[in-house]
Amino acid sequence: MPLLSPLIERVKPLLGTFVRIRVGGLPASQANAAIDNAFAIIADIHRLMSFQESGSDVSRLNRSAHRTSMRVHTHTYTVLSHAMDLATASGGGFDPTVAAKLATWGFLPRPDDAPYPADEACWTDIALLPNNQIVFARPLWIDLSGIAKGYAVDCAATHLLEAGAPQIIVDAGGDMRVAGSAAERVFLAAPPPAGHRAVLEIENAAVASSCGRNAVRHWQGRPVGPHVDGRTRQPCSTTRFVSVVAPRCHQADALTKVVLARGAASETILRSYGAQAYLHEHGRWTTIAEAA
Amino acid sequence: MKASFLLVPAATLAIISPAHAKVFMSIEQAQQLMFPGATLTAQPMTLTDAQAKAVESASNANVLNRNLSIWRVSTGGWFIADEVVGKHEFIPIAVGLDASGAVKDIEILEYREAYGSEVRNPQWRAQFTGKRNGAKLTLTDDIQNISGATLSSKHITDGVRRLLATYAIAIASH
Repeated sequence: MPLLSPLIERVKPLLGTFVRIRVGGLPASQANAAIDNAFAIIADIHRLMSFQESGSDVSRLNRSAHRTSMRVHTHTYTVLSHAMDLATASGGGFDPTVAAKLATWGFLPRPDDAPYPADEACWTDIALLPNNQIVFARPLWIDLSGIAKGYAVDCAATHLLEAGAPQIIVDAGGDMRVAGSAAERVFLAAPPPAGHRAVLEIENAAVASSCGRNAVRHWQGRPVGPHVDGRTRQPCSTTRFVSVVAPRCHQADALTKVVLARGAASETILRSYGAQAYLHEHGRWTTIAEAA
Repeated sequence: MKASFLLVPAATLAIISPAHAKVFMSIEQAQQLMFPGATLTAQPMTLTDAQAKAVESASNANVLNRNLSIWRVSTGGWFIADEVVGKHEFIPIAVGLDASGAVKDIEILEYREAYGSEVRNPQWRAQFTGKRNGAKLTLTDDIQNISGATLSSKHITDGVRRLLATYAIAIASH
């Protein structure tokens, strides 16, 4: 029986951030091959779901899906269906169609060749049809960046586990998935209450965090952050820092936006996903939907 | 799924020793991963003043080091070891180019940046130095996983653009 290799850990610049993959318990050559494939999967998902790249599925939909139904890659269809599930569960608190607001405030570029979204256009104007077809009821811009990063982490993790890796971490700039028998400690980079730091210990779980405080812009004389409450179309508070632990990273990633928007009122939604949240605001931590 | 949330007295918690980079792989390991089975021949090169200016103008990125660590690959292509100025630190990277000069692969070799700006603050770091108060987390429990820090890889993108300009101006003709 070959000796098991030590941990193999690699980092690549992907998804606009640093993606780190760590594999334990596989011989080095197998681990490196699986990590190569996992990075390639993440790069593919980025290409499909980039708001900025004109050839992505997202850009094609934003240009034309209000005129005719369009077939997209299974990855894109899956992410959009996850986004619609959460939009339904959160009554539109999570809404993948807030890109026009983000473009207005300067967080996203305005696509040159896509018609400007209709007033009041929202997630209920998106229809998922059979055979990976999508159609919009009126012009709108989808932006999947609030969920696609977590989905990319999940797909990479699935590949590594299917390749036989018993212990893995996939970490896309702090949105991460941990699988295997060992627990991992995750430092939460929130502004600390005096004298204390927050650490999560997670096992076979995903964690994602969101906070707008480092990205505040000013628009019409008021500060705005990069997250939007889908129900009100107003910016979420930039003083909140949220970490969500969920079984899957796409859930954790997207649920951080719901908690940023709704705070403690997101408890029921978190529970329906088997998730819990740690919200930091005004120097205090609050746990929402803590497991019994 | 298991999760537990701990508020830890700052003085007992060690973030991975910030003074030391986390090393992911050596240049030799990156060469083997990017060009398995190939022979790589070092061809160190120094940019002239004119070349450095041309690279800066073409890439809109500063050339901080004119000495290039480059290798010609027997099966076609080039391997470049370089450093990119990150938000706080230099980030050593390896870039593989195929025979046409297109980016084939990028690996981050070492990384110090993941820990958020406050971790770079010497005063903030000093509070962790040498303290062992018997708490659950101690200096031996380095935390390498950080969630919620804003990490942009734009610096890497800028560095790779500079290396592609360097390739076009100085390397391709060799």
